Amino acid sequence: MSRAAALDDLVARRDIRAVLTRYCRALDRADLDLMKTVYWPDGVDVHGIFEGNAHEFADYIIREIQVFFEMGTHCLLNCHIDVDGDVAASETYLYSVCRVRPAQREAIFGSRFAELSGGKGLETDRDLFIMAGRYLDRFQRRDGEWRISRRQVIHDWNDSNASNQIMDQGHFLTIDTVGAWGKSDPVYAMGPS
Amino acid sequence: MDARTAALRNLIDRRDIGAVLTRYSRALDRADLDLMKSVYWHDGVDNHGVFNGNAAAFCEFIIREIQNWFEVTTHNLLNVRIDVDGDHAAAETIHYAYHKVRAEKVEEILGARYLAMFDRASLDREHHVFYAGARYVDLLSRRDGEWRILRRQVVSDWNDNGPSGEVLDQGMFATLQPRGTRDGADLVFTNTPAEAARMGAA
Amino acid sequence: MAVSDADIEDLIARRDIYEVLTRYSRALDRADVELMKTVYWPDGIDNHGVFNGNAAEFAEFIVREIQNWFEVTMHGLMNCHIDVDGDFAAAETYLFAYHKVRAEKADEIFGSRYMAMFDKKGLDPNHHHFYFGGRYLDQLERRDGEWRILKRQVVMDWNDNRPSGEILDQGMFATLEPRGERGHGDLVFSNTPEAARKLEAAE
Repeated sequence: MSRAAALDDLVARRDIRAVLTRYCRALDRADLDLMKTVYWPDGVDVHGIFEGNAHEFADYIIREIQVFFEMGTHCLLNCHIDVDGDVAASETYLYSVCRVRPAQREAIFGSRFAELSGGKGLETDRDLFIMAGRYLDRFQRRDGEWRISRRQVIHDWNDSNASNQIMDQGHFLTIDTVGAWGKSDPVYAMGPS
Repeated sequence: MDARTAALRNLIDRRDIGAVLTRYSRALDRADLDLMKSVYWHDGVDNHGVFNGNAAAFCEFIIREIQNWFEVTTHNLLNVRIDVDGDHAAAETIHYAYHKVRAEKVEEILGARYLAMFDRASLDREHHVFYAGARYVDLLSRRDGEWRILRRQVVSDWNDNGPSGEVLDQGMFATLQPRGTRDGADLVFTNTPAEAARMGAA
Repeated sequence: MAVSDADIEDLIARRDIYEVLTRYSRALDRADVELMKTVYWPDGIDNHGVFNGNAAEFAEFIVREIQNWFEVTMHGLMNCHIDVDGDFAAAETYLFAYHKVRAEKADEIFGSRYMAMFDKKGLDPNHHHFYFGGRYLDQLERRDGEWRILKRQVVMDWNDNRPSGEILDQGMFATLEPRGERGHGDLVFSNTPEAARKLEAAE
């Protein structure tokens, strides 16, 4: 591979990774405009709970994630990218943790969890929705910019539990900076875009 | 600087900043004070909740206390976002940390309410695990070609705690050797390209 | 600040080494023994606790046994620190692994103490989850331009086990389709740049 081609490939991977992490930033901060920059306008997202146009998915998910959850963290693990000119495909492992709003317990988990596990945690009215899987993405580069043209989410496993989160005792009393939905999150003042 | 050189420069910067981030985790989990100090500038600051202030002082504090409080920790780094602008950069790193709390520290760390509910509820009756989801929000600078952290801010997203279900001596777990250590003898320290070359030559 | 061919070569080495690491996880979680063998040199070694020895033999062992022991696994790679020196390299990669233990294997995997306390205790009374936190310590060599693992040493930092809280048929979980699979039916195998190109051409 020539030096120029090698550099192109490395830059493509850098930019694709930036799109992947930008998706998580948009979702976890409920930033609709940012999320839309991740997909082409004619892009598609096949997400289990939603299947269709990616920008419509963005509208849907940014709204619903805040209805269902107090907090979400979408963590990306191994990322395997194949690049071929102006197109690419990636598989990125996902591990997500979301704190379920009290009123949404039955909607999220169903009646069996509500009956057997609900209320059993240190926090009697909070549960953690933990879901892991993989994002299978197809990318296109148009005018030098990489975005997702199709995302398929695969669900590999889940494991939920009543929350034992502590904020008001022990060492947790020293936590002085916490995350939030939206622009009040500390990352906007202090961190990268 | 032409576009190609700028692109390459950016990739190198991201590589080097990434190495600073992974070095932090290695230093903390191996309780290596000198390695941890190498991650920050001498005038650096770490706002960590449990300690807020000069980074070198934080390093001394945390390397000492992490061994007092926890038998084992792993500081797992996930998605990283980096913006570079010349000699300065900002980074956000999602992290997920595991802490195995020492039996005698459970009340201090997890508090009375946790203890009332879960004391002796673990498989070994003694240990509990504190999982934390948070983000490192960093400002970095490059001086004489080297990147280090100027200021780290920890932002907490969630924590979860529970009686430890760890098994070390039965079933499949008895085969899961070796284990990590903090005494400088961890196998990471002999895992080097030079060792690979010795193997390759053999 | 000048940049050189050596810099590009270093970045390419890191790219290729990281790709080997992610290929291992794909091979293991999809139970693809041929893919797994491509990760190691034929004279490579894997010291994995449960098996220590020739890497190709390890690949055959683990891809077989992982299907016997577990219904589902996830080998999640996190912080990855790579040192490169010419044709040799070393990597430390943090691992977070999930294993859904087959009901009939729980006694063998967990041992009697865990089962005495937790048998039948999960939301799904027949299954338990084994979580593993550790690190892959790898030594790699580049031969004829290709990087592969010469020696892998797995170090365990912690494990944690719990009765399964998995839900597949109620609440939001009922919508979370499709699920991952072992073998080439998994959608990852049709997720290629070529498929992306076809998508573009269709527009």
